[in-house]
Amino acid sequence: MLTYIIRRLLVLPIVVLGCIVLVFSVMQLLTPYQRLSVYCSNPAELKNVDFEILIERYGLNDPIYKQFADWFMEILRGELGWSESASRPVSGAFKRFMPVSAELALWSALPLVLGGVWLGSLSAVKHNKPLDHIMRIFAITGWSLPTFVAGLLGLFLFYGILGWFPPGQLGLEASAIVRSSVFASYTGIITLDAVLNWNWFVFADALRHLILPVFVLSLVSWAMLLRVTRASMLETLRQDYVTTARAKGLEERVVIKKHARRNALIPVVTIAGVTVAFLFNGLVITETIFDFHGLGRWAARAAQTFDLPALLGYLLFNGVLIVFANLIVDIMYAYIDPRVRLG
Amino acid sequence: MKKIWLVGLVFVFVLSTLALGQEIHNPDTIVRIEYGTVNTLDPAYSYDTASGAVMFNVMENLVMWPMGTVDGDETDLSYSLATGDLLPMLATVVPTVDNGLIVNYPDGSVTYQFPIRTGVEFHAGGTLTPEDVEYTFERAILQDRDGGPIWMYIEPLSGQEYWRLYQVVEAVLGIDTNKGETIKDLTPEQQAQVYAAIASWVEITPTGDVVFTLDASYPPFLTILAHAAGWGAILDKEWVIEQGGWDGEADTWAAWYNPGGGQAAEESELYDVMNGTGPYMLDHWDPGIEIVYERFDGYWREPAAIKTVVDKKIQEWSDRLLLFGRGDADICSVDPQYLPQVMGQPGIVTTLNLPTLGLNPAGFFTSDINLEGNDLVGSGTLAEDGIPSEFFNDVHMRKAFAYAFEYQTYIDDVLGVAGGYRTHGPVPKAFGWAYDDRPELYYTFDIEKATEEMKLAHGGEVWDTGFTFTLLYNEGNQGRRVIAEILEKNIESMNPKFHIDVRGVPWASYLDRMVTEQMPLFVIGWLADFPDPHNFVVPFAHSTGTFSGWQGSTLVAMFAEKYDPLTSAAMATAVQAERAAIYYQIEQMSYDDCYDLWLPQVNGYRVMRDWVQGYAFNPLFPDVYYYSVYKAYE
Repeated sequence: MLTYIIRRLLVLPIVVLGCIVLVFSVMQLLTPYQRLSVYCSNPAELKNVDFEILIERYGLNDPIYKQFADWFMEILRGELGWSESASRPVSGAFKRFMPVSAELALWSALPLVLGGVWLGSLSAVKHNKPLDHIMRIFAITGWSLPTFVAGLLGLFLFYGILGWFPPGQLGLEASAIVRSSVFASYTGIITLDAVLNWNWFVFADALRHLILPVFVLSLVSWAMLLRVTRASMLETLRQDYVTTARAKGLEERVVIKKHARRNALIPVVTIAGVTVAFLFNGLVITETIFDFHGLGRWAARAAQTFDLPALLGYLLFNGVLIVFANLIVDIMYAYIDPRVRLG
Repeated sequence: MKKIWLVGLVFVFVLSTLALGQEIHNPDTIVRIEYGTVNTLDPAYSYDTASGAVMFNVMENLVMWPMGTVDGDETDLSYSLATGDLLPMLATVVPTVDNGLIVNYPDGSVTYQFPIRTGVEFHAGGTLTPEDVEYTFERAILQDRDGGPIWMYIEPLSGQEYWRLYQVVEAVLGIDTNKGETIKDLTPEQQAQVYAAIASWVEITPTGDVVFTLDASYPPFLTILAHAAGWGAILDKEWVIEQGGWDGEADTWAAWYNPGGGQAAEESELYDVMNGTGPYMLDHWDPGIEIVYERFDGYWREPAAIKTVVDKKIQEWSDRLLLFGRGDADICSVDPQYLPQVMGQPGIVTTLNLPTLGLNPAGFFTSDINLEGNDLVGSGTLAEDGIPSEFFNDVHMRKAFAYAFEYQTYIDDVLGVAGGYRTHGPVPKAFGWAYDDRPELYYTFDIEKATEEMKLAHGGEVWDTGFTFTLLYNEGNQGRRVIAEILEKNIESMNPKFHIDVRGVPWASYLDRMVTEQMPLFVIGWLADFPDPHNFVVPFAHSTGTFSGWQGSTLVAMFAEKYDPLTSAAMATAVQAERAAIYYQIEQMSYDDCYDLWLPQVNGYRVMRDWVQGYAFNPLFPDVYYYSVYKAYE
């Protein structure tokens, strides 16, 4: 197992490099003037200096390999240009917005994996029974409901009418506490910081604001995981070794947990990488609707305002994120199915 | 589909307001939701209303305009725009000729003397002194950023001889600074010479008063000091120096001249920090997200009633509507087309037909567009995929666009229940004595005339080649988006080779694009700095004007040749009839030259929760003055 992980880790930089090369290739479709904005992290530089001088300074007319090497070094230094839509450098925007998105994504991932897998297998076990039908309806609805529709409906119903789950990250009182000197910000992830500060009022308020966006964000992925798990479980439950296990007199609980679910998880884990991508795509709409100032909302504004450095930075981030997500999936895959690491 | 959503939204909104009851939400906090983004916190740099709105609440001037009230219970429009009614703030007395603090000298010069209030504390701990006042104005004049507000001081203080600091420098030193480009290279001796020339403009008397000396009479001078959008706001000298600002020495100031070339507000040392004497302290500014103010309990008057003010930037109208409907926001920015969704709803007060003193919006054509690094002009040549730099240099092209705008449709469909009216030329209709209301001075929507003009433009070449360019609007501003889309639709309908793209950008980027002369046509608004037509003719039709100065070299040269002499002539006389005749002439020329797109104006309105009381009103105020606001049912 360890050898497999090391082997995968060794391949990782090559994949990340490939991702960077792809983003760099996209950049080459732009004019040198447009590319300049990706290099300058100080907006004044773009406004008060002759563009030709800047193009010369950043070597944008140099051979392509040299341009790539220079840009690669810029990335390593964290210099990704100035984001107009965020009014700060791209690296600063990531620092500001990342915790917000991370919080949403983390809270979404937990119920997503647990709920999706658990409900999927439950649905398969209760095949063609009322619970299975309910789960299938839920999955189909969740799968076919666009995120923005679910978000707006949720907001209208649960805030507009019932007043339960308001948009934004925090209420006024909790917001004042978070801004005050008594509340230390360790991670920027409010729920986590609230726990570390032992401030349960802020935690509860943040959670109240998270419930609806988390539900909306994870709905599509949840539905997908549920359906895949269910189908896989059904397939597995029909296998001979499961029949054998039952014939041996094992308890149904043991048959499902130890024999069926583990094997059924293989295709589920395979699509987990895609699920991460879904989650981050969903952030764009969810954060916009629920007034969360995170990466997704920033990306949406960047797209609307043609903020190239922000878009390229986001593209790079997403690419690297998916590479890492797939690495984790591969490791989990190997853990579940020994044939993978031995092959 | 969109309509179904809209109906659903309004339905839920109504339900939410009904379900709400009458309980006042967050009684100690004002939540305002809007979309305007702040450009800078430096009062000498700021020249936009969103930034000015922050300064209005955090910093204070020597004098201030009196206010009326528009709130849940009353509309009291007894504000005044008369100089004699100004209120003392950081000065203890408003200077007048009668009290001897305004003195007219035989040589034509005038002095304004301000006794400075004692015992006034700054938020960061300093105490207000006459030196702070003197430093504030000298810093502003010596900083004089491109496109900034400081022309309003240099013009009157120099006896209307100069408008910009570089002109003073050139006159004092007898050098060419290339419009200020070489000022940062001045030697310490040269800087001291320039400082000596302006030092007499603002001085401290032996008794500790601050005196402004104008080389010639300039009646609106006091009203310039009264405007609360930044440039009259008093700073703490020591604190500014601590922030890395000008050290107050005569021979060092050039290093702080025109920060960021006037195009990068971040370059000013006060870009994101504030320290004033006002009723509210800046708690924090998270650009594009929120601004939070906390009450200043050491305020020299009674502290404000409301403890915290949260100004949230929310671009999505559906979010704004729901927050406002639930009562979680007290004051909401509502574009005119959305007014029907909030009018008449329980708990919400909408006050219409309030007076305005501005030209907002107006469209500005840019001659000699800056092509460098400009993605708005396509190929940058006269072809179907782009436009050349001189696209709008041709008056026929400008007239084609003027005839292609649906003025009445805009009033009916966009301004809607708020209502609006047509205007023309740089003098607002509010100045009735200076406004020539002849029908022939108005462009009307006429696609045939637009086509005729288009066929004449650029010797007829553009009709064959076609063109493509991008029209920007500041994101969140639906009115400006619609203006761009109306032009897009009508211009594209004339010829399949004509293409206009419409795109939103953040406010700060919009301003940057404007001052770098990259936008072929920009739409922006002007609210009065002081109540006089001069304050409109200069920004709209003077070669150094705030907007006209960014309309490219060809139009700027035209302004310098034809409009500047008239602008000065109108200020050289105090006889209203003579001034009016000159302004009539400017208005006729504005029609003929068609350098701007004179767009319909919206009537003023306010939307707030019914528990909001004490909402100060004066058309010269840049925004909400939170000091007088409180929450109660009366």
